[in-house]
Amino acid sequence: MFDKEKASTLYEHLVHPESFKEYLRESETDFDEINFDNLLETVRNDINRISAEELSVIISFFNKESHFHSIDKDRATSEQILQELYNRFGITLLYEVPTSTVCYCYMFQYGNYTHCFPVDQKTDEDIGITIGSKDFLRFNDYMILLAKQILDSRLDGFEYTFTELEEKNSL
Amino acid sequence: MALNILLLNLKKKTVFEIKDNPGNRTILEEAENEFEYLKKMFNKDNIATQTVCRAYDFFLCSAAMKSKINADKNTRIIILDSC
Repeated sequence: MFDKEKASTLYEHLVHPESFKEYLRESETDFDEINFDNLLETVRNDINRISAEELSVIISFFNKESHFHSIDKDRATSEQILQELYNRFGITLLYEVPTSTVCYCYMFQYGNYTHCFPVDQKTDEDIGITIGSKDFLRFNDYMILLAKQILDSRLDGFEYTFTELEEKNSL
Repeated sequence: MALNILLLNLKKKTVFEIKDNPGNRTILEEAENEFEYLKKMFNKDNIATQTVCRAYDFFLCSAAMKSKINADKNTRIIILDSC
């Protein structure tokens, strides 16, 4: 998700110096649908209107930057630089699904939900989905209700309790 | 317990939601329906089994997202496929 005000400063970061434009040119085959000027305008006016493909290219660029600034350092430093870039420019990584199997499980539920409850969404083939937050929150409610039923049933044989820290982080 | 209060509010809200979808169900009803399917397929289908085994993570992460997203300010969410 995005913080519109913070993200408007991303415009300056991407336009000066021209390294982002250079990066786009180099990666042309990967991101052939991206229009540099349109992307900058979106970022400047309201990053909420960004497409999945445009976000994908910005994240790739951040990855490259954090890697560049942490050469000869450990992975934690690279991750820290990346996190700082996200924070500075108002991009929040809400949930990183850990493996491709879990990702498939999560998206299977998303597909199941959207089959029953039509949502306002736009799909960039093989890249991602842009969805209105209100619709996403309803899907998120569905996931909470479903997961809680699974936990209460103890189907996998475990009884789950929540630590104080987990409770604090969840609310 | 805070998490239970959150869940209680959620159930109240979803139970009374207008059934304006093709299946004519509320979110709670759909979640219950899917749970029955997962229960039936547990240990028979890999995705159903993995979904059950990952429920703890799904629950905590979804609850955390619920508290972070302000739909008026953060108007859109992007799900990126990086698998």
